[in-house]
Amino acid sequence: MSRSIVITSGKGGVGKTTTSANLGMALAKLNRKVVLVDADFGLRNLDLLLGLENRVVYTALEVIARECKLDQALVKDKRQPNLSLLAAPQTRNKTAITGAHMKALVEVLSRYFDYVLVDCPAGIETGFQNAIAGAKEAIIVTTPEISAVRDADRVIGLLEANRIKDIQLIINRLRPAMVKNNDMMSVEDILEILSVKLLAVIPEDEQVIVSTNKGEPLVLAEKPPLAGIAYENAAKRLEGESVPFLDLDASGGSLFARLQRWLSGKKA
Amino acid sequence: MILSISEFMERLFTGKNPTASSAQVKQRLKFIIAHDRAALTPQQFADMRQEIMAVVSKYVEIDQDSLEIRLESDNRFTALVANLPIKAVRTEEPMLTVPPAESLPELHCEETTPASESPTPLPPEN
Repeated sequence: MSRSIVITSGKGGVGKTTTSANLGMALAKLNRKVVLVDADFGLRNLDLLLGLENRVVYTALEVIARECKLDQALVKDKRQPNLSLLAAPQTRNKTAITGAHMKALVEVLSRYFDYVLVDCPAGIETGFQNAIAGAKEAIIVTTPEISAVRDADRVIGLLEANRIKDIQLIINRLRPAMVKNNDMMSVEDILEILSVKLLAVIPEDEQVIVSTNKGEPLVLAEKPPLAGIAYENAAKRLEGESVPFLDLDASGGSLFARLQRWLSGKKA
Repeated sequence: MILSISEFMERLFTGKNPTASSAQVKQRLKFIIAHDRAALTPQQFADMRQEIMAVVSKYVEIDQDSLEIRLESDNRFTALVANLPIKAVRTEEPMLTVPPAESLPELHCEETTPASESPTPLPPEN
């Protein structure tokens, strides 16, 4: 049974594309056949994060316009043959792409792949509506910031209105030290507000930028950094495995631990 | 800084400082998300508030200075929460059918203590 999952957030810059690349690669490493669909038409980036930009010949647009065959447009990753990419067109063509096109595309891809992951553009306009059209499930990416969480809530509402009920949350770029100082919302705070199932918590990690510089997703490394491990765990949870969440957060704990922290902590 | 007893207790038992920026952002988010979910414009919300008050005022006199009508969100569930302190019950009330005066014990409606009334169930204050 194939799964089609849209990765979305509302707000831009919270890590949708990074999440798509790493989750796709991590699932492929678990021996699943995965296709990543870049639905950010006109502003494609997923090929860059995967380091596949030089191999893109045809895009989803040519497939939809029947100018090429589907397998001609799929770029197979040589490092991880279970992973393929269907790139987005970089130029906005006059051809109007509709939700029906995307739905048909995802349906065809579902016949050949275990996972169809759709990287959604930012916003809640046409691009978003098209990207979610073919998906049965959703992964929301947010960061512990007021605007990102607000937009995530809005998007959850829109997904539910579009009959996508299976929604999971990835909290990205968490900074445990700030959470400990009560200067950043905690995972619990965000879950209390959004009330969706938690898929992963990804700590802020400088290695994310290094990996995008190189075009190598974090999870490709032999010994992935903490953020990469968090993505690997997310992939395992998608596969139904129960993996404990990484202990990033030093807050919480017993009353005694809190008392100790409080006594030693700032009093002003 | 001198902590009040309640602040001390809150820090002790929740490990959280209620004035920390994380507490502020959570409060602001809950408010803004409740309004987002209700999809009411500020004008519509003001109109609704006016109409609710007009209806309630037909029956009781509300303390205009301390009333509170707001939206609250919890667990993907949004509630309209109203706290309308009553100054006095209207003495001339033709809408209500009351038993004949002689069957009632001595009734004095001039002064009532302010009471709270909430049309929707009040979630626990946090």
